[in-house]
Amino acid sequence: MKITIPFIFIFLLFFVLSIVAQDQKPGSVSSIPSSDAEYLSVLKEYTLNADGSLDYRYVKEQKLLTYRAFQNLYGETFISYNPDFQKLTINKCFTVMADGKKVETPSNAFNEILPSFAAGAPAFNGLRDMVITHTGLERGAVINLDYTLHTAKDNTPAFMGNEVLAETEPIKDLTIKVKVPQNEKLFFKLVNGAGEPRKVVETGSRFSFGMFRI
Amino acid sequence: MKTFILLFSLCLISLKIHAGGPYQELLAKAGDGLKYPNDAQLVIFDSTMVDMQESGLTYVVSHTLSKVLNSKGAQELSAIKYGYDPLSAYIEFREVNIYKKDGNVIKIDLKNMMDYPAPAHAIYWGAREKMIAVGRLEPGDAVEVVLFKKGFTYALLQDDDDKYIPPMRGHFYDIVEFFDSNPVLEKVYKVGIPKSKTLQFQFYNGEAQVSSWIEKDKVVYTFSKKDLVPFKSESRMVALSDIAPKLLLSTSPEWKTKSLWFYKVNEDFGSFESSPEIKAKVSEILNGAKDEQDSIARLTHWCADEIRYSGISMGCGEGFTLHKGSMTFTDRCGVCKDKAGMLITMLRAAGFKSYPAMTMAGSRIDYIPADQFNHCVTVVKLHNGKYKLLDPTWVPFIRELWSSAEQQQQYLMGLPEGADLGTTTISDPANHYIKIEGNTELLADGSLKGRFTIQAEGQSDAAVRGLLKNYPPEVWFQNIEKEILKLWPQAIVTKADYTDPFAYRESTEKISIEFSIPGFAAVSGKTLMFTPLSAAEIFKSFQGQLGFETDLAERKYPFRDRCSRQVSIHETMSLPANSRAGRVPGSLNAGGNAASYKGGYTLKGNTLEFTSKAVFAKRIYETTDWPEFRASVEAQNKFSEKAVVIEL
Repeated sequence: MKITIPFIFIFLLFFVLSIVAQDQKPGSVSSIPSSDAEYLSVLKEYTLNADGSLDYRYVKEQKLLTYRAFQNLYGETFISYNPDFQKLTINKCFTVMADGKKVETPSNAFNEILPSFAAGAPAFNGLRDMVITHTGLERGAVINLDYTLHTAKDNTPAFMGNEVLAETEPIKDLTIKVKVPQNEKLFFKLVNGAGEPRKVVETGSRFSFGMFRI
Repeated sequence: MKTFILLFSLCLISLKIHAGGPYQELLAKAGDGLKYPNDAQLVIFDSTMVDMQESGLTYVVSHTLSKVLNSKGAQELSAIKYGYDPLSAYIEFREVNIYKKDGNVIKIDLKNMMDYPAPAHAIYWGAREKMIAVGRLEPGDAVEVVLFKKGFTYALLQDDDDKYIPPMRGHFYDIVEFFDSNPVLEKVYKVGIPKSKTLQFQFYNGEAQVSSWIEKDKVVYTFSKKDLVPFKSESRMVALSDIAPKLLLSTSPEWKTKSLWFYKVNEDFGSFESSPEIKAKVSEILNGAKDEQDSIARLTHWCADEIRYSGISMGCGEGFTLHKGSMTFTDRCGVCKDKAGMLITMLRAAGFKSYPAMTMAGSRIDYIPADQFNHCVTVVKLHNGKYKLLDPTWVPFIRELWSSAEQQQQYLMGLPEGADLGTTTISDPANHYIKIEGNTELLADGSLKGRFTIQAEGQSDAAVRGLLKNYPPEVWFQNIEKEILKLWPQAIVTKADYTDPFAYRESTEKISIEFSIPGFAAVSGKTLMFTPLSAAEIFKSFQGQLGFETDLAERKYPFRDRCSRQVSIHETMSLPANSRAGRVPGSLNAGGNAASYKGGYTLKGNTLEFTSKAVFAKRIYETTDWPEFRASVEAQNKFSEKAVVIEL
């Protein structure tokens, strides 16, 4: 099948990916971590399939360092989607507690809700947020989450994305992959930073890779 | 085109447009936006008919007719939605009709009803909503809704209609608000109770027309009230349900029955069974515990801090049943009842006798034993035989075991011997002190330099600690800095000291700021005019009383603060050499037992001192307390408005 839609990606680079020491003003308490959490790794993988459908895969390993991290910030993951043309698959979800104990996220921790912005709006009643309530959280715990969101073909004007390469917490290893069929051209630009993606032709595959690894 | 014509024809058939209707005269007489200029909708009638079965199951039909008064009302009524919990309740739209202003009646096709997961925050129990899109309305249009409901908020049983039977089987209760945000011309509540049951009821905060008669095997009670007008709220007043007309009904004979039931339902479920992992954790937590109080404190704070507030459903039984301790221990999350249950499990594992209790955060529980609860807590039996309340939900990083933000609040313990409704006591304001101490030096050029320290305890400590604890460490300095900058934007904060906000069990939070403020005093020749920071409401955000508007000369309704509080402020200011008093405001003494304020200046040589002490004795205040409360706040405010003048 010939795919005619353009493939455009824009990457915005902000210099907050690694742990950046703030100006330490007098009075800081040395025992307090400098951030609430850190991402041990994050993978964002976009795939344009040959039939025009799209896959977005997100994988994270996130270590929680403070009470605020699990009480206020990262206890739940919200994934917005439209079930009419998107299918969400949770590939893996578990927590490794500080003592190494693995806690699988139970089935009752996956709950669909109507996004609050769609409340009372019949036309947007089909939208959903999948709320993942991460269990077994404590200081030192690592959240492991891996999901894929498949979007049926003909629902977006183009295969495109806009990734801001910045998070509110430090990331040790961020990888962004964009997979497109070899016969298609991918337009992309890295804004506010320098660097070229590593391009790999996957052996025996119809895909080529565009990859940033920071 | 053919498809369009077919769809249009189907729409015409399904909408069944016709003129006239049973309520045209009623709607015409009801009034419009001119008669109700401040309201969006007018509820013509709001009728509820409840049919109680022997099992406690109720079939409810509600019937409302609401008229659109303006565009806001049109928007509000354009979609009709009701929430329900599918585990224990069933709702069904029976009829939705639009009565157009021109006399046409549009019957809404109920096949288009939407049934979907409800928006949620923090509690993800699978609640759902059903919605009918009414569409565009105009002022003068009206919407009629007939809704059938059966069921309950909570589920314990799961066989056919059984799942809709309330957890306290065979009993029925209801809380019916006879107030609304819109004007209501007539509200009627009718309930049929089996003759074998005894219904207790009371109409609070007003009067209603009441009747009862026998209809076959039921006693039918009817309560009705006409011309309900929206309440005019007063700032910081108690909850509307405390002062607005409401009806409470219950077939439960007394609170003790409810207490015994609550005890048994959780014991039968095994909510508090321990596990080797829990016992090991309890041993770890209690290693080195000094005494009974220390053990209780350690376990309470562990549950408060380590079990985060986030609700996931255990399915059948969710609601009144507390999650098993093993489940919460693994999940490390839950709502109030699950945090309470975790603490009960741990206390029992440590050898204590401990039970759950229900309470109502935010409003009063009246004495008819209808379930007026929204919160669950823990009780522990001390060695002296007394029960002590613990709230692991409300005390994360707070130096209390029972939150004093819940003083003067009703509660019901689920005890093996049963209990009556109780009320928590007032917490001494000294338990929630704030001490602000300043040492400053005013220079002849009008600049000020110095250091201020704030230290607090109890709920006040929690507020001060929150300045740090609730934010990422990198903004702590800025947060402290802002306390000066919002008074004096040109201030230069040179140093901020603070104790570890997470080490709350070790010490109260203490924050100090060193600063200089160029141009602090207005200088005119040899005259300097200024208001000391201590009098100018430094650290105002931690003094809840200063957030009260004092415009109201008197109040119609009781009012509330977050907690009782005692505020002591003292500043010693060194003045330039040879300063003389131009104008130094005197002292003020205001208030009485409910609230009081005493403060003022002294000038000795080149040292100016400002000292004040304010006491706010309660959380819930009566209307008669307002003059004292108001006078105390105004006295403190007056000092911020009166500058000191000195001559060099």
